Amino acid sequence: MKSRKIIIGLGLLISFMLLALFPWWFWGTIKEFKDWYPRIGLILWLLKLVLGGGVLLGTLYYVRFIPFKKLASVYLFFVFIISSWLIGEQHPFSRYPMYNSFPNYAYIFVLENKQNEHLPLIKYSRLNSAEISHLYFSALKKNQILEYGMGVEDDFVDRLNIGEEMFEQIKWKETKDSLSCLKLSRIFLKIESGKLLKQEKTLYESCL
Amino acid sequence: MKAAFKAYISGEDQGLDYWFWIKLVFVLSWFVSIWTVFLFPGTNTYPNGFCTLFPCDLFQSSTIRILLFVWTLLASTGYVMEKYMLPSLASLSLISVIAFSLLSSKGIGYSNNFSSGIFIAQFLAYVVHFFTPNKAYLRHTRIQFPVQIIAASYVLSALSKLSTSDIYWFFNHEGFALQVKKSLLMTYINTGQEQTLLKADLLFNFLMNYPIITHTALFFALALEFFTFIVLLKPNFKVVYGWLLIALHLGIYLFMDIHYLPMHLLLFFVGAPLLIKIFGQKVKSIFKS
Repeated sequence: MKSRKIIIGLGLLISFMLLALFPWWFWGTIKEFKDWYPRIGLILWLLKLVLGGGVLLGTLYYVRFIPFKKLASVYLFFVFIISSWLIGEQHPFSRYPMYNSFPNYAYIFVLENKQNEHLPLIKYSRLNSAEISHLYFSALKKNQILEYGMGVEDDFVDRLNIGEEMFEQIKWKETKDSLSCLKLSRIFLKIESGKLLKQEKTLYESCL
Repeated sequence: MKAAFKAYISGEDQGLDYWFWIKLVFVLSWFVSIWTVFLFPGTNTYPNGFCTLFPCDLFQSSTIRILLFVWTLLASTGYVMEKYMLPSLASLSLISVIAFSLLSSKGIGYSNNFSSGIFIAQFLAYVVHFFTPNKAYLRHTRIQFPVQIIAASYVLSALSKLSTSDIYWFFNHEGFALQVKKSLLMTYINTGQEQTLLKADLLFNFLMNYPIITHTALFFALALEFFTFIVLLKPNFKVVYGWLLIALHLGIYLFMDIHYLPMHLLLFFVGAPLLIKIFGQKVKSIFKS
């Protein structure tokens, strides 16, 4: 019994290594085999099927010995990590990228009136500053602006009216109607030589 | 009292009563996260998750949203009352994925909320129970499976930091100081509270001038996230580790003013319902004597 387990295990190990090294051979169609091996293509393809069947049977044989109850306590953990890492930011999967880096710049989005005075966002908008920030990066991504930060995307932001797109996506409260002019601006903070520098850019202005 | 505390530290499910309170609080907090989906349709401008596969513009219809709301109520009731658990959990898993996909498709985040993962994990626990009935094992898996999802989320966060910034992540005190300042400025922008501006400047200067403290704190935060997998080794590990993770979130709130109540940790790691029960019994015994 033990020697059988070892032989089957070794066979599986070699098969999986070959599969990893030469996947094109294992997934090749009958036509491809005939092209690669004009004389013996069909025989080799059938042999491949037999080998594939052997690998499947060997795997099923080994599955009997897997302590499922013990593995159940970690199975979901690994499946979720691998799935999230491969799939990325598509709910319910995520790599949880929040603060995975600390760039030496930051964008903050503000609401201002005609006199350039900051207005408290929650008084006029159902979205908070963090959500508006998400909106900005979602708009950049949707418009295929993949390089951003430090103001490098500003030409595209102006040309593609990203500010207007954001303005239309924001859920405004009725209190907004009391204002004749509303400006959505981006404050750009940057650390340079240990000092904090600040620049402001108007993204969109709605004035009656 | 000692026995009760021992039971608490064991980290094991303490029966139907305990499980009922976990379900009730969890489903209510979940509902609070998603209620806007039923009232404000929004637009599907940035399709995410479920909305990349399915035309989510259908949810603009008030009829569809009313039906979704009724379905949510029915599934939540079945879930809390421990009736028809398989269809209830399957429904809640699907509704949660739809709801957070809709919220995420508005471009304002939410793709990383793991309530959906928790519902799916509980659903799998009941599927296993359906095929291999074992009540004691179910009591273990309906908590342990969600613990795996939560632990995986924290480990993913650590891996994300290491893969993007590698070891430089916790050495970058200047970048961290800027993000702290940004976070506090966002609070000022939201509310107009002037004292937040003062706090932003104070913390920024502190973090810039004392880099060793920043490096140490960030190192421990990263290590705490990365080693969350140890909660899978023994049930009682998650109780202690849960409190450490809650402390991490508290630190994030104090420094960056990010308001986040870690309900998942309170329910599935530190067993808040049991702790409240023990505390209540202690208060009762003090008043009796």
